[in-house]
Amino acid sequence: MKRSFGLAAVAVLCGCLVSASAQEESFLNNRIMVDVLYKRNLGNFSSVWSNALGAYVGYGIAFPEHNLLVVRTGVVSNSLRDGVSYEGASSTLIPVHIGGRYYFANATWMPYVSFMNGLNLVFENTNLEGDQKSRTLVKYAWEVGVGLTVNLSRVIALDARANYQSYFYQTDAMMTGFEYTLGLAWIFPV
Amino acid sequence: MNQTHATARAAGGLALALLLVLTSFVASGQTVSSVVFKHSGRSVLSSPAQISDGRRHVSTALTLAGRSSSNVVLALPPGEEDYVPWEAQKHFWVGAGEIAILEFIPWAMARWIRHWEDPADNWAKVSSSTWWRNISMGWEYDGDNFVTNNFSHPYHGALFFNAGRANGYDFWESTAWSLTGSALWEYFGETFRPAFNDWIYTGVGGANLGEMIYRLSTLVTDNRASGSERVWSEIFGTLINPVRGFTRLVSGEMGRNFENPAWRTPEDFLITFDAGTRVMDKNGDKEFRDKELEGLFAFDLYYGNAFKAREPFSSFSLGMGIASNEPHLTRLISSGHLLGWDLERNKHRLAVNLDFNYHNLIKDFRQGIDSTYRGYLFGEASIHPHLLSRFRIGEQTSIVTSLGFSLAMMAATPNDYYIDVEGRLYDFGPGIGSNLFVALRGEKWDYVALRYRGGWLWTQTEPSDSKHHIHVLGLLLQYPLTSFFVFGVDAGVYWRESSYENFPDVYRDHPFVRVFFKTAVIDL
Repeated sequence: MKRSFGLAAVAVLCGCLVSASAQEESFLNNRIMVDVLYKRNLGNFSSVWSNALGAYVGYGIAFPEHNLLVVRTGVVSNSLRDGVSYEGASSTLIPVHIGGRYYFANATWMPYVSFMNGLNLVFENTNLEGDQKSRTLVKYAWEVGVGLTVNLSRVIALDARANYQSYFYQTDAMMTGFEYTLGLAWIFPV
Repeated sequence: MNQTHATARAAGGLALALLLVLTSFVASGQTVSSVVFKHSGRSVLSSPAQISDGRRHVSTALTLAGRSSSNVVLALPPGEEDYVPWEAQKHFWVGAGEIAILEFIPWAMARWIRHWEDPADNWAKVSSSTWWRNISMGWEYDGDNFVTNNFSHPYHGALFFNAGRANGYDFWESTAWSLTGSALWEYFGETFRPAFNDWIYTGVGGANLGEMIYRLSTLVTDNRASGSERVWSEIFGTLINPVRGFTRLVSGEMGRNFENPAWRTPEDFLITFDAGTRVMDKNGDKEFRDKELEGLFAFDLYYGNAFKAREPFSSFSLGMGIASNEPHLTRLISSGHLLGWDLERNKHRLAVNLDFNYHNLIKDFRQGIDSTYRGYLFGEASIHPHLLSRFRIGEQTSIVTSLGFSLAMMAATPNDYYIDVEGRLYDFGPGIGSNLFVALRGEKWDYVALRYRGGWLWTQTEPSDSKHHIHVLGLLLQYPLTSFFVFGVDAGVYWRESSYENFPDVYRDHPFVRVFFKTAVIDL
């Protein structure tokens, strides 16, 4: 049974790849994107929360000839710096972002610059002042970056990106940092 | 960023404009194939744009004043029909170079030319350590005053925008140019932390103002004109849009005879000027005992037809008010078409505009923990989705309505308990709002117009957690004395409710009345 499922899945995938590659169309098409991320925090915020791990899921809408409108959400969890220990402390973000990419080329290798902004839902549980304090914040998010999309086929693409983020949090402790993402995109040929 | 270096930036922009005008004089004589001098004895400065509809071009016919001056007439080569206009192709590196110049001039003036009482105050002394600090610390809200944030920054942004727009990029792409130019300045051009409000006002406000001056400079410059008419059209175009003038200079288009863009002359174009008086209650305490009377001069421009607009800003309005009392620049408003969908052609249209509002009526303020100002101000850069409708009730009379809401990317309203050391006495923040407009409109004038603007603002800067609910309600009556001259009365009230986390809430209302005469200066 398992083997049949596997063969069927491979057949469907191959069919998609063959049919897609048979078309002489743009690589810049609508897509679903899934990314994992690592972020190195900066500034005063990083003195408590050193880095973050998380994942995004997004959808991209292509516009001729270079542009991709992107909406995304996901979950990002900050990690306490080594040596900083607060019992039960946590800081988790749910991003709701919109932005875009400008692709410099429409080929197998597609470098781009990107800009994303939107809102972060920040769920935090801290006892930094000695008592447990849970709260939810809604803060503005701002990010610029560069990336590379490698079209493995007309249907599947690999995506890597490096971003600078300046997320609003507190005036003296903005959530700034460098974020690195790696992901896959499922492309919908027109 | 503080007021002083904004002044330096403005001065830098002015210096660039003057430099460009001077060089345009020189270059106009250098780039054309032949130059013919002739003498003129005319001594009248005739400036209004002469508008002909033969080839739908606007020619600025200016003749220099008296004193046996020489008019330069440029004999241009014949039309080059196969010529591909500069703005029809993208020129990234020229645009990037212009951005670099626009960043460098104000920075260099502050760094090396301006005298600093305390050299430590020199915000232009940037280094890799200040860059890294700015990157690490991220955005903040600055303490600039209202004029700097709501007027100087958008102008600088308009120059950034046109570095893209005049080099072949469309409106949306050029908006990225103004946002990028602003971000580079904020992070790397000064020692201060990058200010998020500056980025919005420069980037978005710059796109708003930038596209308007791009279209107006295109309207003024006539690629088919020659002689002194061409020279003056290029000078006026450069004064309106220095970056586009500079780009035309380096591309050689200042002296080239080629086709004008098809969209150059809008379907409708109206400029009005009015003069009158305004009285407003300054205290806002409902007792109406402290009125301020002042003269008010206003200029309004209407470009294109909102029911037929397709491209961004193919329809827009721009208004400016100058008061006799301080602050003199009291009003600067605009609304430009971004997107639109016809629900019923020429009758119902769903449209999204980019709005910019600047109302500065702070008549005086005191520093302290009590009420710190008298008068009101309101500023915003917002997206304005709305339903625009027109109901014809006569051959040339209709009722026009607009109902929509606003998404303010950045708005400003007074804060009753906070004065920044740099002069800011207002709050920043995003907001949402509602808009209503109903008018009985004739061929040219609104006979009666009712308008309401309501908004909720949430402060993001220090002191945080204040909320403001603002309203402006106005009724305009205009009685045409002739086809181009009206008498008008505009009465209304501005009121707000401000809530503060650690201070008492504040309620203010400021009724106002304006009486004026208005005339149509240019009507296409």
